This record gives sequence, structure tokens and C-alpha cells, in this order.
Amino acid sequence: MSLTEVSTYDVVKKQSMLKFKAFSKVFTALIIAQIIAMLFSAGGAGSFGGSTDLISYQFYYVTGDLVFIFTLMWLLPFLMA
Amino acid sequence: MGVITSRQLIKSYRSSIAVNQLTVQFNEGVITGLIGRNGAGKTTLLKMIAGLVKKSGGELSVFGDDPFNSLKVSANSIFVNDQMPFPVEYRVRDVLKEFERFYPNWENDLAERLTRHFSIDFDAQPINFSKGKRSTFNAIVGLAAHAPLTIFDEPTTGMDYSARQDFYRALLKDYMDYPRTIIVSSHLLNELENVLEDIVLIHDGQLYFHETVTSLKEFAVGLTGDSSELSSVTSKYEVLHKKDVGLNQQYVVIENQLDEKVEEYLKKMGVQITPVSPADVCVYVTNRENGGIDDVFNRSKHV
Repeated sequence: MSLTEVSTYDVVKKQSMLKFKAFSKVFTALIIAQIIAMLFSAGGAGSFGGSTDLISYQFYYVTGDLVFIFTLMWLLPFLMA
Repeated sequence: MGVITSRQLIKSYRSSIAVNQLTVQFNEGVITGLIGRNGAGKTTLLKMIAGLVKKSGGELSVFGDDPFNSLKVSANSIFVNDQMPFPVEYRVRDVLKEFERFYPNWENDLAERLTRHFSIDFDAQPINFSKGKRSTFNAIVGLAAHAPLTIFDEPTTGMDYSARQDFYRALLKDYMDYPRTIIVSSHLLNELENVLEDIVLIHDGQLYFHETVTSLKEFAVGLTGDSSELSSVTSKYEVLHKKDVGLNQQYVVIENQLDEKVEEYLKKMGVQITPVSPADVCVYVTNRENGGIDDVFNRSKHV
């Protein structure tokens, strides 16, 4: 039986696809966690405003901190393993 | 021709040596049985050959390469045991599809037919299988991959009798369609001896012998007869095994070097001469130092 020659590039591609598929639910969980985090942080982290005679203005601070924290929470099980 | 050759191969774990200066050669295109007691080093040797475990010393070459970290070896070999890791969420059909991507010789048709024959559900998840079913499925994968080097490490663990018979038959038929190097490690040599061509027996991490099954069948003979008469003859030969059967009767296994004269003499004495199966030979030669299980229960010896 003749032997198959493989290239490193091919194997890496196949392995990455395999791992991506094998852990698809894990990645889905990350996406969901981040979406939830985005909803929570949609209200903004703070605001200030003011007004003059002509205009009134309001600044809202939006931050990705919560998304980052949720990502860390998603990571926790892996760090403990 | 040796597709796998090892010289003075060593694998040691922290406190124990699993494979101790093993020099062995596996022939290309042959079904070889790797036989040994529990803890003889079979699995370690096979894992080193497949490149899953790194050797501690010595030389090992598979397809001319050192198997550890060799893409060539991993692409051309498949290692089947009872704990092949499959992704948790994969169903049977996903696993088959995935193997098809990795093994260019994969025969999907065969895999599907075998899966159906062993009544395995394509939508079931292999990780939920029972022991026997899991082994069966792994064996199917091992066969259908048609890898030039196919390694089965105790493939029949948990399989029932009829599944084992089916597997041996499938192994033989598939081998005839696609001759390739196959190594099977197993405890059930008496079931496998019709499938195997070569037998490699290892004990305590070392090679005991590498023989063809045919020559192993003629390696030893069993003699049953009166103990005192037997002992006068057997003292001249290497005794592999001795067992008391009934009053003054003994069953003695010796290496098959009887000439016709002795044979005739024994027959005249009423001694029965019987062949010894390869499986028994393997047990006897590896049991020599510490005797059989009978000696454990023989209190008079210990007093």
C-alpha cells in the first residue's frame, strides 16, 4: 500500500476545522455570553450633560468592560481544567 | 522487510520501566499479533509506534521515520483502542465524515455497511455507547480507514462472543481486499490464531519470541501419563509447564524435540501426546519463573 504524503499546512487546516467543529457549542456559548453582556451594558456606564440657552447636550459613556468580564467568565472553566 | 524496526528501545515512566531494550521488527503486509500478559508493555510499545508516546531511549523507526512528531507516520497509521477520543457532541455520522477528511484511503461505504451490520444508530453519540458497542465502533473506524499501518490495541474489549467473531472475520476479509500492515494486541490468542500470521510475544518489556503461528503450533507438546514414568523422560527436556491431574497422573508440556524413538517409548508406556495451542504456549513460557496459579494455593510449598 502506497504511503500518503501530507503537508503541514493541510494538516493544520484540517485539525483547526476539526477543533472548531468539535467545540462549536463552546464558541456558541461565548457569542451568547457576549451578546448578553452587550445588552446589559447598552444603558451606558454613566452620563453627564448640561445645557446652555441654545442647546442642551448629554454625554453617555459606553464601555466594553462587561463584555470583557463575561468573556473571562466564559474562560473560567478552561482555566480550572 | 520490516516496516517497523526497533533496536534497544526503552520507555520508562517515573518509577517503572515499561519497555526494556526491546529489539523487534514488524513485517510489512502481515497481520501480527502482539501478545503478552497484563503490564508486559504492549500498549506502551504500540503507542510509541503510533507516535503517541515519546521513547526514552534506543531506536525506533516506522516507515523510515522516528514516529514521534512525524506527520508521515500519523497520516499513514491509525491507532485503535477502547478510548479513542471523539468530540463530545459528535454523532456517529459526524465521526465517520471527519475520518474521511483525515484518511485518504477511507472507505465510507464499508464503514456504513459495518455500522449497519452491528446495528449502530447513525444519530447516536459514541460517547454514550456501552463498552462493547464503543469497541465495535472503534474497530469499524480502524478497518474502514485502510491505513497502511493499522494498530488495534485490545480491540475486542467488552465485545460479546458473536461480535468478536464478526470482527475477526471482517478483519481478515478487509485485509485480503487491502493487504497492509496490521498489528493486533490481544489476550484472546486462541480466538485470533486463525487470523494472525506472526506472533510477537513480549514479557516484562522484552521480546520473548517472534514466530509464525504455524511454527508456534509445533513448538511444544503435552504429555499426559504416570508421573514417575514421565519424569524419567522429561528431565532431559526443557519443561514449560507441569500440572497434576488425578492420582499419580501428570500433564507435562515440553519443547517439541522428541525423536521418534522416545515418542514410541512414551506411547508404549501409555502416555498421551497432545498438541499445545499457541495461546497455551504463550502462557506457559511467560509463567515459568513464578509457576502457575496452582502454586499460590499449594500450602505445602510455603511451609
